[in-house]
Amino acid sequence: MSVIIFIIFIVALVSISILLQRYVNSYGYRVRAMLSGYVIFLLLCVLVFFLLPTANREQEKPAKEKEEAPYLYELLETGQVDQINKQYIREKWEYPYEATDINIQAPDNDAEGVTVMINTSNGLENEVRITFYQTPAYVDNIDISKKVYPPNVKLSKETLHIYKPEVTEVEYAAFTPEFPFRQLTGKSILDDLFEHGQQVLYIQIPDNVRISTNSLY
Amino acid sequence: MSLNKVRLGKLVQKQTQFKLRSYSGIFSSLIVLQVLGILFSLNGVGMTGTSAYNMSVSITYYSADIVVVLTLIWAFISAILITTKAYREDDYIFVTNRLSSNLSNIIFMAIASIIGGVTAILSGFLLKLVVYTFFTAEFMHTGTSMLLSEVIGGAIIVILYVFLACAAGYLIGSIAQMNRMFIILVPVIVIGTTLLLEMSSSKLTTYMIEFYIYEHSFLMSLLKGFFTAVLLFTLATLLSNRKEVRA
Amino acid sequence: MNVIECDGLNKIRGKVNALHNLSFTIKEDTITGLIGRNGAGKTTLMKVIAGMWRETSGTLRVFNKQPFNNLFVSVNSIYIDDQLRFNSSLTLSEILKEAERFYPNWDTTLALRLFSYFSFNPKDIHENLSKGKKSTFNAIIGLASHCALTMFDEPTTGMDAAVRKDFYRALLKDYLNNPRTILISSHHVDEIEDLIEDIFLIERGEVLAHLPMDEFKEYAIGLTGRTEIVSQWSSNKKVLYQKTNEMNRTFMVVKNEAFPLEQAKRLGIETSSISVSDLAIYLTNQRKEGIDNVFK
Repeated sequence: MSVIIFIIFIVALVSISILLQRYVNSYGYRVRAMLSGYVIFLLLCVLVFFLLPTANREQEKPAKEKEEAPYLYELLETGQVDQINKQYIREKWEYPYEATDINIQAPDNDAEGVTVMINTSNGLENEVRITFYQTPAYVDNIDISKKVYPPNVKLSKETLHIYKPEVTEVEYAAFTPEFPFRQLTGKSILDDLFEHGQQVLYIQIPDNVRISTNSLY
Repeated sequence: MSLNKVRLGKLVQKQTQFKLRSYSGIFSSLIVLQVLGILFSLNGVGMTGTSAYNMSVSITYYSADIVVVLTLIWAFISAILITTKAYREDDYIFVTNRLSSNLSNIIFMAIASIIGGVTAILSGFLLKLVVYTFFTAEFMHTGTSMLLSEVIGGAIIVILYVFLACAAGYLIGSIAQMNRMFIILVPVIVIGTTLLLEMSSSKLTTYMIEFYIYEHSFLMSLLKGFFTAVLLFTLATLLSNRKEVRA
Repeated sequence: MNVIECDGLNKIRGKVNALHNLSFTIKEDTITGLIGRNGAGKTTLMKVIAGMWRETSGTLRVFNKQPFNNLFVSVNSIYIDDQLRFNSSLTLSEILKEAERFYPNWDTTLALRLFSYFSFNPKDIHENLSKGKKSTFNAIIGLASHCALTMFDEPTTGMDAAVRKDFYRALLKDYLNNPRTILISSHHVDEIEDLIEDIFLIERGEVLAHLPMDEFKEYAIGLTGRTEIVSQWSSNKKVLYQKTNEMNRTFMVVKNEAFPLEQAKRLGIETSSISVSDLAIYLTNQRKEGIDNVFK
């Protein structure tokens, strides 16, 4: 409905402005000068736009081939930790640990939390090792992985605290061609440009340590 | 006094030039409308957002879509106004007949469509400049680069749509001018059926729009648009060919 | 050669029979005065001739062509009235330039000289002119276009007396320099009586008289005398007007048909000639008594 009101408003605006000029003195040559000025101004905008360094960044930096990231969960679940490329390790914590019990305080796994995986079959002794794996996240061709905050981990006495990371808010502006252009290229206005990547907090605990957690995991 | 002959083609050319010089209100309203459209466009035409894990990403899309839509509305209204008494009588001060008047109107509208369409596309660059200069968000560079053929093809399609809007307005205006009753009747019918179709959630309008919008082939789009325009203009010309002027 | 040929022309506008069975011809290079009362059909006739309106029935040929939708007629004729509205985007001087582009016979010198004589400002907009100025400007266009058929419909509306005189003088001079067919309509017969060669008297869409001016001046004669004598004497004559005063004297206008004027004089009837404008009024007045009757 608001669209209809908007259209009626525009229709009234156009009609009045055209009819006004029909009956009220409006020197035609002034309008012609105005129109020429407007076109020249727009052409200048085009020129400036292409001279702008930011405008041509895409050409300077061709989209690099996004590598296929491995499926972390599967690799971690099946114990193929070695298979994971070191470049996906974002953060690593190692604590010496000699107690026989450990309590893990982690935020809920759902919502915006990070997946937490606990592994006990690892041959570690007197050590807790926590690794934060992250595969790259992209928006279009921009790698935003580094903008993402890793979770915070703290070991105090017999409790391992995992703190939910801050939420990273990223705002982008993008240009999209006008709809008749989209019609020909078949592009939709909102292309799916996201690739979230995967984030896993992998906790390795010696198998002789008893684990208690605040959640189901 | 010697008698003179005038060829139709020559006369249509003169009349078109006359219209380009004198129908200035049509062009000043175009400028006003496009500037308005750019202002509206600063809000973005679309937004998409996602959040996963601990990140929340939002993208605001900027495009001169609104400018193009406003240009279409402008074309539609201008074409209707050209059929009104005031504009039609301009021709009859000088040399004319109904055919030459209609033909010169059509050529005038074709030129106006080119001006409207090209400025609408160019205004997209103005929009981008404004957004670049005054907005702080980071930019993604999708959608800035297109093949030259895509740019030209798209521009032709934009112009064609503006011309189609002219054709629709011209036909509706010509029907309305046939009889005094129609001046009230035609808008009522047009707005009435549009609202009715909207309310009854009929697919007819959608289908009609999709017939043009969902055509990905440039050539087919061109043909569909062109022949629709020819059909509408022919009807309008036939309808007004027996119309009395200066009544 | 006849510029306009018209046979049994009818024009129905709405429910009104604006032109009723008109048949006449207008010769080349003549000035014809189209005289008639308001609503007599002068404007309708001109608009049909100009090709703006379509005839309902009958034949109409202008330059031997049917004028409606005819480019040849359009380029060789111009119709000027006080309803002309120009697009406000154009200044007066731009309008003159446009007219020059359209009319092949356009006389630029004449247009510019008249333009400055009547002290127009080239940058003015037509819409902002006063009524008289608008008429004057329109008249300039009509004159300078030098169209083989030039039609002026009430061209002097709003002009002051001096401008009227100037306009008629300009029209006559230009006509003598560039003879062409001119149709001019007016309420004021006396103003154009010296200008026009033929008079075309129209009433209720019918031609009352279409005569050379010289003949029209002799068309009728006024008789004044004792009522009984005048009535008796004119019993088989065509009476156009009649007025009796308290002294039992009657003034009567009758069609001039080879009267035995000597006889009339002997009977004490005074004869007088009738002015063209009075004659036009008598001819076009269907009511024998005139407005006085209303107040009786």
